[in-house]
Amino acid sequence: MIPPHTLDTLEQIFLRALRETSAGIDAAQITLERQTAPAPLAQASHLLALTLSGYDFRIVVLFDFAVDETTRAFFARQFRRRESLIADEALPDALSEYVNMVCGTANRWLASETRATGMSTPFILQAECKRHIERIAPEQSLVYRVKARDLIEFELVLCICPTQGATLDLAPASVQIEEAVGGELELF
Amino acid sequence: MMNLALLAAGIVLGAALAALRFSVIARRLKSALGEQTRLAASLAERPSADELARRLEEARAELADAHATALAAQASAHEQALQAALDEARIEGELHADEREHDGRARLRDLCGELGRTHAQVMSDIESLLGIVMIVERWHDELQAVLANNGELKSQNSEFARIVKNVVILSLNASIEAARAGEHGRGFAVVADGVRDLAETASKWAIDYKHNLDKNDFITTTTFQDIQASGNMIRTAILTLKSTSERIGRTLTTARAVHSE
Repeated sequence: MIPPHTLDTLEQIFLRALRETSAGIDAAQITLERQTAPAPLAQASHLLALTLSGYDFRIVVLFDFAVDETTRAFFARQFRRRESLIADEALPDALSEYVNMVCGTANRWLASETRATGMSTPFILQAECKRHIERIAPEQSLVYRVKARDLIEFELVLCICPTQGATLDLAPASVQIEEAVGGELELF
Repeated sequence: MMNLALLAAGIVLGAALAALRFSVIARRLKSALGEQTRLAASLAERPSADELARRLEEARAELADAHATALAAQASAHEQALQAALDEARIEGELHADEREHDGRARLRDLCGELGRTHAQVMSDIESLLGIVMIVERWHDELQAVLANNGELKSQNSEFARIVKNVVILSLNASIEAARAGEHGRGFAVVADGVRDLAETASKWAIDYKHNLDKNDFITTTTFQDIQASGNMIRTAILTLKSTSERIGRTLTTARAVHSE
């Protein structure tokens, strides 16, 4: 079971993770716009999947990036490349690293709520795989459009799968977007 | 005459008795007088009220001094007795403390030994559990193999779809040529149409097969990621347990050092 406040908490966790991870952007300019369903498949995109697991839940996190100049420029800036546009062959690695950092930050707060979580490495799938989200039977799917001004725009999908009979209860009070969380280095 | 004699005798007797009585009384009075005289004399010799007060004060002072001296002596005696009792109790306590310390050290030694053996077993078990890291890595390699195999299937399917697409095109061309051939090409047109139908069906199956491969990729990837994430979680828990166990080991070492002192 997933209480409504858990969904709010997860949204806060990932919004904060995106804001803390995206370098060179005013945090307030990164927003999450809730969508009713995943967007149709783009002409060319990279779909990255990463899983966060606890004893009685897993959350499959999907990032759908369009393969275009906007995305290549954004990640060239993110990783301080000399070129203005990151090369096509370097883009998958850059996306994987970005996804790893965002989810690693999110996992740290998730671990403080659930006592124990683990994180997988990201994996790039073909965009068509997004059609089959229902095959992993999530109890709830949260679909967001992530926007950072006009610098980048991509889709974020959280597929929340509690174990049969378990309740994923994440207290909203401990993760407030204004608070500064004392950081500790975590190998994720 | 007789009566006079008797009377005279009586009178004499009475007089004698009276005299005797008067003598007794006189003696009593004389004694009392003497007593009174002595009393008067003693009263005359007694000191004055001031003198008495002074003597009384002196007596009180003497009595107070004597009382204080007696109390001091008593207090001193009590103090000595108390000190003696305390000394005795201290000596006895030290004896008992030595015994208890000896028993405690022996017990501590036994407990350290037992805890040390248990701690060594726990550390060994933790090292075994850390082998899960290798298992997770093996699973990751197996996942890569499965996904690579899926990739090959997709490539083959794509090639198959390309071939099928070309067959469809060829069959269309064949139909066109058959139509040009007119009556002679009618049989060939039928064959071409049949081939085109089969090719279109094969193309549909190729598309469905591609969808199934995508589905398989997604399910396989997320399943193995769950295994990988869970393995990392368990590894973190084991490392935390190892850290705690190492702290126990350091505490045990300190306890042994203290015991040896």
